[in-house]
Amino acid sequence: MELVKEQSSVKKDIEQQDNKQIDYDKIFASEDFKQLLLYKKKFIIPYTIFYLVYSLALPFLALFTNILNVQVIGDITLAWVYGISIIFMSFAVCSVYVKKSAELDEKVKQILVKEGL
Amino acid sequence: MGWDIILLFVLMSIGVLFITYYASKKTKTAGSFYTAGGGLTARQNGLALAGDFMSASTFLGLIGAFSLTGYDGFFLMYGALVSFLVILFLVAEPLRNLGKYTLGDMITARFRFKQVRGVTAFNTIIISVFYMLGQLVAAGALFKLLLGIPYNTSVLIVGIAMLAFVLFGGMTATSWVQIIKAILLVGGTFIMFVMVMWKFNFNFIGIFTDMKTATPFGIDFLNPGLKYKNGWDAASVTLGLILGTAGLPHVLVRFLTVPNAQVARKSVVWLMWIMGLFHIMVIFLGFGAAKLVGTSNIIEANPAGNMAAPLLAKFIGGDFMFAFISAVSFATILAVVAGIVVTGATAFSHDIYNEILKDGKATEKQQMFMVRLASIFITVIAIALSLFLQNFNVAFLSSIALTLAASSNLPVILLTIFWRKFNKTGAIFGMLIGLISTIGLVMLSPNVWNLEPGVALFTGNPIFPLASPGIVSIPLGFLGCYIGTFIGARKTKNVEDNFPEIIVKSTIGNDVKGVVNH
Repeated sequence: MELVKEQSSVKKDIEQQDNKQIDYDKIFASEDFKQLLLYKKKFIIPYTIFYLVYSLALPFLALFTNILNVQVIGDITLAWVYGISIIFMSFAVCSVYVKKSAELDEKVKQILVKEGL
Repeated sequence: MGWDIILLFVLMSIGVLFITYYASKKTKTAGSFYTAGGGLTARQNGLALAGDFMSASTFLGLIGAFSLTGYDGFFLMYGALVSFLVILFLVAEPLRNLGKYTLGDMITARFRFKQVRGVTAFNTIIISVFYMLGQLVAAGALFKLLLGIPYNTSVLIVGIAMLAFVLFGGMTATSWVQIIKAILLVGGTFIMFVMVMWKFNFNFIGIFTDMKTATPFGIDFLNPGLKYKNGWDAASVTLGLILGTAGLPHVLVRFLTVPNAQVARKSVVWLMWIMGLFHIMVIFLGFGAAKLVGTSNIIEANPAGNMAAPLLAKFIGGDFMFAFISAVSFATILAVVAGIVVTGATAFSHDIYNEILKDGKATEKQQMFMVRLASIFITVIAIALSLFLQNFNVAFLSSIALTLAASSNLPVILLTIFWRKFNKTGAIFGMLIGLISTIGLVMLSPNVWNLEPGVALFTGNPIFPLASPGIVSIPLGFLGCYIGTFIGARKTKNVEDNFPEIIVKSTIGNDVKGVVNH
C-alpha cells in the first residue's frame, strides 16, 4: 500500500510540474543544454562504436580467418581468450558509463537549478 | 521418476504460488499490475532483469549449445550481454524518462497517433509470442525427460500453469518470482560449476586438453566452425542478439518498474555482473556435459541438446541434484513465460483496448478483464505453435525472437529519441518492414526448407541461405524508417514538432524533482 501511495504522490508532483508548463523549447535552445547533449554524444558515440566493433569482429575473425587459432596457454586458443574477453570488456565499459553518467547528473542538476525548476 | 523429484517440484510450486498470492493482494490497480507500482530498488530490478533474461533458452539452450557445438556456443551467448550495453548507453534512461506503462506509451509520447500506438502494440504481441516459443519448447523437453510424458502434453501443462500465474499476480508477482528464480538459478549453476570443476581437479587449462578427445569431433570441438560453416550466419545471429534485447518489450518494461533513471542505470550494472559470471560458468558446464554425460546421451534425450544441463546434474549430483536443477528450470520457464504474457497482454489491454478503442476512458475493471482475456489468447497461440518445434535448440529459437525485436522495435526506439526529422510514417514503416522482413526471411530460410525430406517443415532449396535473418532484416528495419520518414515528410509538415520536449524530457527526466533531490 505504501508503494502505491508513494507513487501517486510522485504522479501528483509530475502533474504539478506539467501545470507549471515547463518551457521545453527554451531549455532545448539554451546553451547549457546544448553543451550537455554535446558532452553526452562525445562519450556515448565512441564507446558505442567501440563495443559494437569489438564484439561483432569475433564471428568474422573466427570464421573467415585462422588468426585466432593460435594456442595461448596449453590448449586454450586465442579464439577462447577473445570470446571470454568480451565479457570483461562489457564489465569495463559498463563501469565507465556509470562514472560518466554521474558527472552528467551533476550537469543536469545545474541546468534544473538555473531554469528554476 | 522418484519421489524426491516430485516432492521438490511440489515444494517449489507451493513457494512460487504463495508469492503470487501474496503479490496479488497488493495488485489493486491496473497500474500496479502493469509495472509493479514503480517501486523496485536497483538490486531487485537488476536481479529481476537477470531473471527475465536468464530464461530456459539461456540456461538449457546455451549449456546444450556448448556441449554439442563447442566453440560455436559463443555465437549464441555473448551478444545478449553486449546488448545490455546498448540498453545502458542508448535506451534505458530515455525510456525510463518517457515511458509510463508500455513501449507504446514511449513512442506515442512523441507521435501522438493511434496508428503508431496500434502498430507498436501489435509488434509487442508478435515478439512476445515468438519469444515464448523457445520457453515452451524447453518446457516440453524437460517434462518429457522428467516424467516420461509426451512432449505435447507437457507443453499443455506448462501453458496452463503459467496462465494461472499471470491471472493471479501480474507484474508484481512476476517481478518477485524473477528475483527469487534468478537467485536459485545462479546458485544452482554455481553449485554445478563447482562440482563439475571438482571432477576436472579445478584445472581450467587442463579441461581444454581433455575436451580435445572427449567428443566425436576431436580437436574441431575447440575451434570455431563446428556448427557455423558460414561466417555470415554466425555474424547474423550475433548481430541479432546484440541489438535484440534492446528492443525486447518484456525486458524494456523492466525499466518502468524503477523510480528513476539513476536506479534504472544501477540495475543494469547489477545485471551485467550477474549475467557475465553466469556466462563464464555456462561454458564449463557445457564442457562438463560433453565429457561426463557424452555427446550421444545428450542427443538421445533431445536432438538439439536442450537437456544437457539436467543430465549433467544427474551425473554429478544424482537424483537430488537432477530434481533440483529440473525444478529450477521449470520455475524459470514459468516465470519468464509469465513475464512475457503480461507484457503482451498489457500491450493489448492498455494500448489497443484502453487507449485506441476506448480513448483512455476504460475503467480499471474493464482493463483488468481485457488483460486476462488477452493473456489466455496469447498463451493459446504460443502453445499451438510450439507443438511443431520440438527439434530446435531453444537458444536458437529465442535468437529469432531477438532478431525480430532488433529489426522492428529497436530502429524506431532509437530514432524516436535521437532523430529530429523522424516522423509518424517513418515509425510505422520501420516497424512493419522490420517485422515482415524478419518473418519472411525465416520462412524462406533453411529452418523451414531443407532438401532432405522430413528434416524441416518443407522439402526444397531454401531461397534465403542464412538460418538467422538479422544481418539483412535489421538494416531493412532502419531503411524502412528512413523511407517512411521521407514519404511522410510532406504530410507532417504542419504537425507540431515536439522533438525539443522529447529530447529534454529524455535527457533530464520526467520526475524533475526527483533528480534535484537525488
